[in-house]
Amino acid sequence: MLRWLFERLFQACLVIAAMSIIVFIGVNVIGNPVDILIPPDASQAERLRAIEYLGLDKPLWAQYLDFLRNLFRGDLGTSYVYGAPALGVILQRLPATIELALAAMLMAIVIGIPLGLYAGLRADRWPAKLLMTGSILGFSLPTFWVGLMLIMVFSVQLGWVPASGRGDTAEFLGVQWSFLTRDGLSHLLLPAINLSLFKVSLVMRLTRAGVQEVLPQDYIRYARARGLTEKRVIWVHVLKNIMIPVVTIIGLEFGSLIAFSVVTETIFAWPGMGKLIIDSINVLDRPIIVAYLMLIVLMFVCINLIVDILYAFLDPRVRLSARGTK
Amino acid sequence: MSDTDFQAGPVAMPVRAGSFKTLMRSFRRAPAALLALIVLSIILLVALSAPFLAPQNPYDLLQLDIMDGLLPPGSEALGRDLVYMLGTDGQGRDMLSAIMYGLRISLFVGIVSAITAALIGATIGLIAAYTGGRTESLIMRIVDLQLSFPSILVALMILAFLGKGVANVVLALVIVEWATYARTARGSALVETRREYIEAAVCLGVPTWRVLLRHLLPNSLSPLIVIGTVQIARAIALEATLSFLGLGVPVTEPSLGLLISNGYQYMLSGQYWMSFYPGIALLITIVAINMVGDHLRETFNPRGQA
Amino acid sequence: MTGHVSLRAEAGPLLAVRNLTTSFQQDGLWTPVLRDISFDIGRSETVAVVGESGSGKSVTAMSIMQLLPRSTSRIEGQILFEGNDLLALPDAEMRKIRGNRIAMIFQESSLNPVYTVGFHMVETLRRHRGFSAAQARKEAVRLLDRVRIPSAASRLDDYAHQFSGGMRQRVMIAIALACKPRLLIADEPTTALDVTIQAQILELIKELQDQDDMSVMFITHDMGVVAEISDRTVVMYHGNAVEEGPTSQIFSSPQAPYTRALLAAVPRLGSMRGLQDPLRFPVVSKKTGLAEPVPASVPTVDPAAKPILEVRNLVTRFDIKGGTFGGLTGRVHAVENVSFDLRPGETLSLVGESGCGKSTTGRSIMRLTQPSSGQIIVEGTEMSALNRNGLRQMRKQVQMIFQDPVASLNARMTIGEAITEPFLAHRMGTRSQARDKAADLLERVGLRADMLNRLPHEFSGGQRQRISLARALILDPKLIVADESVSALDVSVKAQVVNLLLELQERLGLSYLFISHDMAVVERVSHRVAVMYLGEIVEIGPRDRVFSDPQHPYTKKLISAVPISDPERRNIRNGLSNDEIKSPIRPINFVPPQRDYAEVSPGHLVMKDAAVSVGPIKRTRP
Repeated sequence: MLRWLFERLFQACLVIAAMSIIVFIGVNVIGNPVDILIPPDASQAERLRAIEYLGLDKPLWAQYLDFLRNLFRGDLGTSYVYGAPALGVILQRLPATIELALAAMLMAIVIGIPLGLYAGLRADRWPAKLLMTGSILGFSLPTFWVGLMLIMVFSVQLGWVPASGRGDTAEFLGVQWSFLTRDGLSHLLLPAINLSLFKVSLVMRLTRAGVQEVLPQDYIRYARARGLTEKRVIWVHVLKNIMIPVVTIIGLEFGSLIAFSVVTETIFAWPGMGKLIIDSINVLDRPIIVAYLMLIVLMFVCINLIVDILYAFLDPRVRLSARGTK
Repeated sequence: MSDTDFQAGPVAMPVRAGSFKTLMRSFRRAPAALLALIVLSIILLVALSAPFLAPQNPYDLLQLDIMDGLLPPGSEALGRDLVYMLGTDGQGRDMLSAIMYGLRISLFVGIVSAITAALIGATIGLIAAYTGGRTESLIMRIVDLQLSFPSILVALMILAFLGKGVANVVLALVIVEWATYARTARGSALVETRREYIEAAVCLGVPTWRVLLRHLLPNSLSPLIVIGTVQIARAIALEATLSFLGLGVPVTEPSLGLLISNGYQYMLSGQYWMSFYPGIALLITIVAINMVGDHLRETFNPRGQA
Repeated sequence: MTGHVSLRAEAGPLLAVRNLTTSFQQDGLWTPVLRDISFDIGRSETVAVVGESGSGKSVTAMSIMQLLPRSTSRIEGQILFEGNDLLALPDAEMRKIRGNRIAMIFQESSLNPVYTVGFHMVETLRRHRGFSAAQARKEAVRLLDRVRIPSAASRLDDYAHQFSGGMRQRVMIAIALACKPRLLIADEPTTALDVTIQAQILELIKELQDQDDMSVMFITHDMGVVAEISDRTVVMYHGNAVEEGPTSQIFSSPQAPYTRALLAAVPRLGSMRGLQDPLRFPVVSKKTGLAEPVPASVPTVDPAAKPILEVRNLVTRFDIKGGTFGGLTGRVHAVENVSFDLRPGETLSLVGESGCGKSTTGRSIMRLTQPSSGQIIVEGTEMSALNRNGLRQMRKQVQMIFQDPVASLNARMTIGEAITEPFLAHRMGTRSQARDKAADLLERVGLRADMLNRLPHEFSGGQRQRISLARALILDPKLIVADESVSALDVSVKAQVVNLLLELQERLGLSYLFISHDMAVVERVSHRVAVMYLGEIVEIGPRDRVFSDPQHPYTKKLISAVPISDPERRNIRNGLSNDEIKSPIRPINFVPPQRDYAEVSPGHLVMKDAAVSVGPIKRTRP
């Protein structure tokens, strides 16, 4: 098991290294930093000085090494807009994004899994069929448009909840959270619903597919043949088999929620990393873009690693092969 | 003597792509999917013939009247025989016409990127399945890596490097999508390669190219068609999202996403129609494609996954 | 016969099925799948329910247990268990009977993969016997001991996939015994198991049945198993119980035409003693029960002819890789130093259990798998010396028929296209010549020429196997490698396809390399037999010699494990073994020992020094 874990860690490092190269090439080669960093009306001498100062005259590999060295020191440059270290600016916005993503995830689980179970267990009843058709709608609704419609209906027309911002926050574990105050919670509600809509459909369909795959299995028939109650067959024998893929996917989708919060944050003016990165791309605040991408890569690699371990923990077939030869 | 076989009846087989007739028959049994197919056909027709169908050319400034700006749906044009069925935007542009033209761009970007990605991805996937060994594991590692990042993030990253524009959006979508096709193509090719009819063909001395083209490709196609349908919908939605965020198509070629974005500023003052109707058009398009895709999945693979 | 029958009379039957009719709902219509079935199971009695696929034998068991989905199935009639009608019981009462009074076992893959074996056992014990967790665990260990699972206590927390197939079936039997059931329903419990393991499981069931005084309803398609274990037999056909009676009577004087047809198609091990050539199965009409005369065997082998196929020192190994860097961790020695000849018109069978390398040998000859070393000589030409084109030409001579009749035809091609494709690919003639020849071949394999335009899914399994044969024959091959080609077919269909193979051999002088695990069929079709074990041939010789006078211990074990379709020759042995089948996976540095063969009679070779053959090996499972 330890060796397997070590191998996974090593793979994770490889991924981070590969992504750092891609980000570096993307920013420094495809997008020409000279055009981005130096005002177009600068004189030739100013340009040269700036190029030298930024190290852009060095060969590419040397520039990459500089980039890596700074990366390890946690120095990803200074934001042009905020005039502060890029990483700091981003980390400051991180809790808001995490809070939003967690809230959306929670909704997806709490709504998606029971609906999926129902749709799978009662597949030939009309509510199940309705749910399945509804889930296509959930898949198809463009998140940003739904966000607009939510604002239009619940904020503009009905005036029930505010349309933008985080509202009042309270401190917990040294970080400001919205969900701890009534006002904050009312601000969180719409964005969280908006972000979770797609995932509710996904989790529901996944759960239903799992149920439909497990139900005809021999071991379910066998469990019934042993006189177990239907409740036990469903909640013990069906559920654990479904939960393995569902938990895995939900874990992996958490990363995707953080990425898609870009859209929701923009619409609801939620002050998280997503809104920051869109603003930064629009004004070409390069250090912020680089810092965001590297941070996201790191988060994703961590999420994948955790999900892998979780999966191995849940599924004895994987766990044991991991303990053995692999 | 054929009736001396007592095994009861022919063996049931799932419908396979390629037999077009059976596919059409399967639509007849699923009214919702059939409706979606009809709607989709109408949408395609409207998009193709927008210049002939649209009440006005929304990008010909001569046809616009700024005095007609921000009219609600159903208003009549000032001094002209024209009803703005879905209202007008800030520049007096007929929203219905704008939506028809926007649909063209959305569908173009979605379909072109999906087809390009399908060709590239499927080729790479089949190569991976065939070569095996190190090439395969390298390709599949890259595919896995890319698929572990959400599409919007990859697209954002690429557009952050490249800047906006229709070509860049298509390129970004291709880069986002190829991996899905590669994985699907490899997966289904691997499954089919192990089946005995492929081995039988090899034993019978059927040339390799013929085994690939005549046996393997047609049988590996159905999952690709299913994925392809869904991916077109995803591409259209992603393009709309990117355009909404201001990273997609330029203002000169507004897709549905950009139309929604343009209407966003009027939304809080209750002038909903500029965002609402393009959104409905987008929604109907995506739902129709997804429903057709869902039906294809059920038909090709009776025990399909989510 | 045993004395169980007399016991039955004492207290009436344990289970009485009366006029059982089960219907399934399909597209809104109720279609009966069981029609008016009645039979009894006496106390301590074993009743076999036998039939081919689609006969309704499993539905009968599911109806008794009421495990069919309520919404799409309807059960009518009476199922009296200890005098109570199960069909009249409320759900909750029925659940108390399931797994408790009536236990059921399926194929061995029916344990939930994400729970331990102990979990299943404790769950059942607590449900029906109200044990505490600790009590249940203790009892579980005792039960695993009873079914002879080595070091039972330490295996309680293992998962199903950590057991071999035979051990998994033992676990299921242990669970079934947990509540001392009155009736055990066993639904094809040994179908997926190798024959030596099957023998162990059958003996185990028999022994435990005697100890616990339990009745057994044994569902199977295998007449050998029926003859081996049952007191009485119910024969099912298309949802009807066509015949019921004491097993010895069913076998000695079958009444129903279907039973006669079925029994005629069942090969009986040992029935070929003294015959040199293969023998066709008698054809008995299922309608009338009348038999057509079996045509006499025609010698097809010229002992002086040069071999069509010579295999010399064939070795095929597969690397096992593991870890991120794909390091070599071991090798499967699938085929190890195999040599044999095959003459024109001759059938050589490769027999053995799973993992013995018989299929890999066939695939290596076809070059579907690349051999590691050795020579394959077809009509004097060494195959490995051939380039790609030469190999294609060679493939005209040697053809292969596969096991799965569904997978071996491309579902998108009409059978006309499928059959003519190789003819055209080898440029053997024009399109119309190809079609004419295909039509001719279809008739030759017992189908009609006008079927050329149909798609594979319009045909049954046996018909598809005939089509595969026609497709192979269009290249006029001299040798056909038949890899388990009749194993997936129902008994009667199997007999027809075997007859067809023999008929084609007589007419066309074909040679067959017949790869099979089914000893009884092998005895029927082959001239010579090679027994394989862990990748090596342990014994090879004329079929009659190998079957009537086996020399190698493994051959003896294999033959004695085959259930014989004759209740008068029951093979029950005492002294239960729990040996497992070994795996040919060896460490990287393994050097296979040099083998010598002794010739015990002309052409009958046996590997010497059998003790070594078990060698240093890894077990399949911990």
